[in-house]
Amino acid sequence: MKYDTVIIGGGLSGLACGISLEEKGIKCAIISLGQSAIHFSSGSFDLLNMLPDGTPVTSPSESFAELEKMKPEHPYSILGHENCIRLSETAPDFLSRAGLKVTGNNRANHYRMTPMGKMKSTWLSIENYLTSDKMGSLEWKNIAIFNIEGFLDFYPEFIKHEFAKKGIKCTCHELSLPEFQERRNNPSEMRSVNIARIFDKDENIETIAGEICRNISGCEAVLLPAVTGLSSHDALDKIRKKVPLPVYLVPTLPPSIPGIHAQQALQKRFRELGGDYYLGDTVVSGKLQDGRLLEVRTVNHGEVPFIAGNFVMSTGSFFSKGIIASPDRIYEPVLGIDTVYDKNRSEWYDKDFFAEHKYQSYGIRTDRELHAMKDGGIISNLYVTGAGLYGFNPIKEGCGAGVSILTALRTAEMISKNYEL
Amino acid sequence: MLREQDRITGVKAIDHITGEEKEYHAEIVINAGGIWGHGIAAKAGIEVKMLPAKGSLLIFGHRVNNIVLNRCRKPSDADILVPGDTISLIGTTSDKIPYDRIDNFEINPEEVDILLREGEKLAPKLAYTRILRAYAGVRPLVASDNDPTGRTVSRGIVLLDHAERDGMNGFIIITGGKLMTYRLMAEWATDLACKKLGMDRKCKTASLPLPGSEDNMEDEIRNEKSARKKSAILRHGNMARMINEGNVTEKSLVCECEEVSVGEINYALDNLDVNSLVDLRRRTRVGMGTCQGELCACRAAGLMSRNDRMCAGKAKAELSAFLRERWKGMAPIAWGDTLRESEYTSWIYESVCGINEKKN
Amino acid sequence: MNSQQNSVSENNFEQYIKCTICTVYCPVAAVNPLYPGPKQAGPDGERLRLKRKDFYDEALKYCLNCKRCEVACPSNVRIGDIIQSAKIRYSKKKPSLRDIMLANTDIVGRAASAFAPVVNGTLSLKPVKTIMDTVISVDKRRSFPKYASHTFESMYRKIKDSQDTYNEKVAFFHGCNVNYNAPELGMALVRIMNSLGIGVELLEKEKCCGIAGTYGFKKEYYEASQAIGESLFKQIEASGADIVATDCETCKWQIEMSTSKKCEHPLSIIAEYLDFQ
Repeated sequence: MKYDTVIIGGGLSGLACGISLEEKGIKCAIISLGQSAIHFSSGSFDLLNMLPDGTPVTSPSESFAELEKMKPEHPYSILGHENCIRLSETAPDFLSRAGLKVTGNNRANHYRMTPMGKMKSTWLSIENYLTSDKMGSLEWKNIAIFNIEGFLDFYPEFIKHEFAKKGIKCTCHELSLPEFQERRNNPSEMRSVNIARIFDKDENIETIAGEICRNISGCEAVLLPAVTGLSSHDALDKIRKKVPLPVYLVPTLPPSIPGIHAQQALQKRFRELGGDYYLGDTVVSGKLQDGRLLEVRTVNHGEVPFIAGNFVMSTGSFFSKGIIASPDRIYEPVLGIDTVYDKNRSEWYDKDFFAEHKYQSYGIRTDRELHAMKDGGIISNLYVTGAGLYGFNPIKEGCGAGVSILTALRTAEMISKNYEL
Repeated sequence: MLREQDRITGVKAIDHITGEEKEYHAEIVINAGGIWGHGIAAKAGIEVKMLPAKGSLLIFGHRVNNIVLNRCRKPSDADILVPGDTISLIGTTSDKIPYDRIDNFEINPEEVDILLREGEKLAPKLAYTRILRAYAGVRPLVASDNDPTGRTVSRGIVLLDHAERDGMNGFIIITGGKLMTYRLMAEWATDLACKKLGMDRKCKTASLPLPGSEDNMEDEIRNEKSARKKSAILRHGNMARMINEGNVTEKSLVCECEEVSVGEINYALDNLDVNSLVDLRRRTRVGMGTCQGELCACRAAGLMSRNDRMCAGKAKAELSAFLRERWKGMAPIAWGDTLRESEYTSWIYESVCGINEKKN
Repeated sequence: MNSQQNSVSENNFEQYIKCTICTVYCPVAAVNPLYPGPKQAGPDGERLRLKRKDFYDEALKYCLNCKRCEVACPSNVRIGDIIQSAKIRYSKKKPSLRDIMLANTDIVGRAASAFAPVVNGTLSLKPVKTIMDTVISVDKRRSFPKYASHTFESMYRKIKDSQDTYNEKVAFFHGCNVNYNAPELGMALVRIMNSLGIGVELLEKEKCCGIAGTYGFKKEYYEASQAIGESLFKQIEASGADIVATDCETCKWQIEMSTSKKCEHPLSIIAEYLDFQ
């Protein structure tokens, strides 16, 4: 199997890299163990919400330079603040070409609502989400929140509580359909995906819209959980046509339907551009020679190796098994490339669950051009992108999606330069 | 303690839910405070010397055995592998800790090492079975009264009548022992209390079934097809019949690991004295499965704030407290899949939900 | 310390972290409310079944074992295998007459072929289908494939000698469907091969190759898989063929791995031959 570039890991970062390379005419394969962590995302993409010293960030484009000084090992610092500004400028169009319509820009973070009703800073939000420019300011005074009966991953009571603090009154309702009754007899639990399937049927949309219209007197807007359709993408539009008020979505606990749609859209774009996406295959070994990766082998392809001029490791963090923690070390399981972590396990965590945990920053060591290293030596044709990188805390700094996308786009640029030479 | 000369007549206590101070009066006060009994006795001016002995255990993700496995040797660390509900646990260690640490101790890496090393000798499989959490309790080992050095420990149950021992009437202490002997301890204590009250009655606990076990539910359990209902009967016995699952919401699962439905949670909130998420966990096993509260904690908090059971603000605070408590047990063994689960939990609560945002 | 370096569990069920991605892609959960879903049937259920065997839910039978859940799982949990293992270990159901009939295509095929016109006519009658629906639970909405009066093997025997005239030979691993239901396919293959100057040989007694889709890939079934196919491999070696033809890809992998012969799809052989022209 010969490709220009082989990307290991088919999540946000791997796909962003693959799409970018295919757009430049470079033939890629993506090999992915399973579906990705985007399925659990909030549906919004964060670029930079907080500097490492705790200062909140309102304008990422103006804060990259500061970050570079504070934390030289951060992936944004490795990219350099100018690249960060430039690449984050192009990201919304890049996503839009893949069919993901987003709002937001890198000059000013906006706020999106969380399942708990708080407003959280973010960079890009999928359209239809409830967002606001200034923290806490929404122009309405009276909102109707609709949940689905039996759906426990959405919290109108918490949202109501948060909104009351801002002087907004909320009424909470539950939508009930006979189909839910039938489904609930099933021993399995009701997660967002089960509910989303119900919105795929037109007759259910009728019933739901009708129920909504009956309960909105005196209200200025309607909020629904983001479960409006699994295989269909126009359920919300249909509902909006029937409801005379603005209707917005609020994210739920995972799995995230917008996240699933985002993954599917990116995968589709990659394939349409001519990329090969090998899902459900695991890379098990690679052949390194003279500081270069020659080929990798996978479970499904047995004796047939993937040979490429360039390789990209986008295998994610602990959750995605791109990095593994045993009781005494933290390592990268596919090729054993260098990682950064503290030898003493007690340092990996803080006693307080909500404090910053060092393990969240551990990851793969690279040089200043995102090349992987093995025993200190650079592997000149193996790049590392995304959550597996060392040096940033996606949770505290609010930069997970940003790191995934920007390192992927930059890597695509560097690889494409290799071809021009 | 409320005291009149050489007699204890009651206690003054603080209600944790309302914050009020209350007084309770009685002819006999029974000190059943475990390791904290030392402090309770001290409030009556009585010394019951206790040697707090911390014992740690590890909980594994699923049952690796179905009968108790015990090493045939003199009692030492990590001797026993016990199956319980959906998990197995290995224990224990024994470390003396100072009295002032009984409310804030930690499990250190050495204890985890010992439990694993010795545990593997008992069951080699433990070397590669997922660990859910590490936790510890403090045993109330009571120093023998007849050794002035205070270094000899009474094994077994300790029942002391302070009238005889210290000249303080109306006050007895029941302590020591083990979980396995708790009903015997109840019998001893109530028999002594009745004797002191001049009542010619014997404790009936040996013949009375505990609440929920009055009927033999084995047939009902075996024939129950729904995993959710089966789990509820296994947990609550015949009291599970009080669980309402009439509508869609009540059938929904709050805890997927342990099959706990909304109906069961409502039952616990209404009947089992549940006032916090930790209480709820103890009564229904919510948060005790492999995810350690990753999803169910939020759902349970949401439920508690419905129907005016608790205000939303308090429910959210409960959620944070619950997650912190779960983390305490995961941090000592947070590697492998447990670390993955923790990362996911942090991601859901901090990134997706925005809990613990600095400003808002 | 050496311990706890890896968590090893049957079918990786300990690696499960409740992400629910499998439910998104399970085709059965999408349409059948009676099916508990891959999570509950698989790893969640497994923990409960380890506690008490009677937590096993007969509704697990609805799982197709299509493996979409496994392909989607980011934790590498072999959900399909957990469910199949649970069925084998805990299910109290014995195979019914229907299950035996559907599984033993050879025996049924031979019997049906002997009386093909009668069988075909009968099986297409509505009342018969209704009876079969009621008595042995074969859905009356399904149409049965027609059985041929003469099996492919019997038709081949008539022209067997003519195949010796060819210098190059292909051993055709034909399977049950060609033999009992569509012998004309087999004869078509012989005609096409012959027109290319290649003779066709059949094996003495065809047997299952043992790979059974992904079954043979699993470490725990490897020995069994090779043992099942042993008789077939011997026959292939003993045949005079240069190459084996089969239209089943997984059989092809197995035969290539377990014998000294190359194995190709008939179309590949034809295409290669045409390339040389």
